[in-house]
Amino acid sequence: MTHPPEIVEDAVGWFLPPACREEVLGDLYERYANAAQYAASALMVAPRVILSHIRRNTDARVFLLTGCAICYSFAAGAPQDDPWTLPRLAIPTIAALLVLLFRNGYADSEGRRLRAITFDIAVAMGAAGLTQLVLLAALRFDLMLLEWCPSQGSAAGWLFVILLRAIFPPEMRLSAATRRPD
Amino acid sequence: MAKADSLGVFEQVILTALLALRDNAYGVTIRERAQQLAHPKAVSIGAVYVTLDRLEEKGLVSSWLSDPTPERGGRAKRCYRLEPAGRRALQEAAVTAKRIWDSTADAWGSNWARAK
Repeated sequence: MTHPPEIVEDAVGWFLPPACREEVLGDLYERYANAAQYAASALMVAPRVILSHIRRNTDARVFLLTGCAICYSFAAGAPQDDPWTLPRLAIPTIAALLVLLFRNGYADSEGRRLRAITFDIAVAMGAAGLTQLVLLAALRFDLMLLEWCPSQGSAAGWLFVILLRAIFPPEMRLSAATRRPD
Repeated sequence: MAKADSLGVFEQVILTALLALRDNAYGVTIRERAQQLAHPKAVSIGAVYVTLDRLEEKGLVSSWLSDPTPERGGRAKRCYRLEPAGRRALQEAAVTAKRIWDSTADAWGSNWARAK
């Protein structure tokens, strides 16, 4: 066989960011020698291009502001005189930020429309809420936010982050050009 | 857009590969040429993508998608070319490298590299 199995290509393509999927899959196809070499190349390439897109699509200052906004939105759920205040706030905040970072790896000029951004933020705040269910299942009540605060905080965080993204809109990718320049 | 500051060694390798490849610069050919330039160090295609992405962000190279070809399974290539800022940055790096070469040749003799 001189080309990779279609199912393997589809699986690799699923992991690659849409902004570079076409050319990376084409390059991997062209370099194909056998299934093991293809799999090894794909495993080496995918994490690097995802991290590269995260770096490129993430503005450190906006990201820091986003973290502060999410943390503030959950603040009502963490009493200030409690020694567990910091972890109570940090767990949902970090979960939401990780989701936003991961989504940045898959964002392109097409995917950065307001609807896509709104969806990404909703997923991130959903992940923040999900951490509370995980803590509940693990019976770590000391690390959980107070009653109702996960849902209220998620909603407030969603609103704050959307406002932040509206004030600081993401730059369009430079490599979105699809035709050869003159 | 990121500021185009001084180039790292691998960035110089990639820009030199683009300069040599002219109109045939895309992922596979760039990696092959970079591998020749960086010998005996291994160059992974992932490192090439990351560096090209960074150079494009700095405005030193530009890219576009070519037409799909059957030898790539009907997929397009992302072709790259040096921008004027990239040429200038590479020239500056080459001048510095030439100075380093001249100084080492003065100290060790001009045949030291061939002995390695």
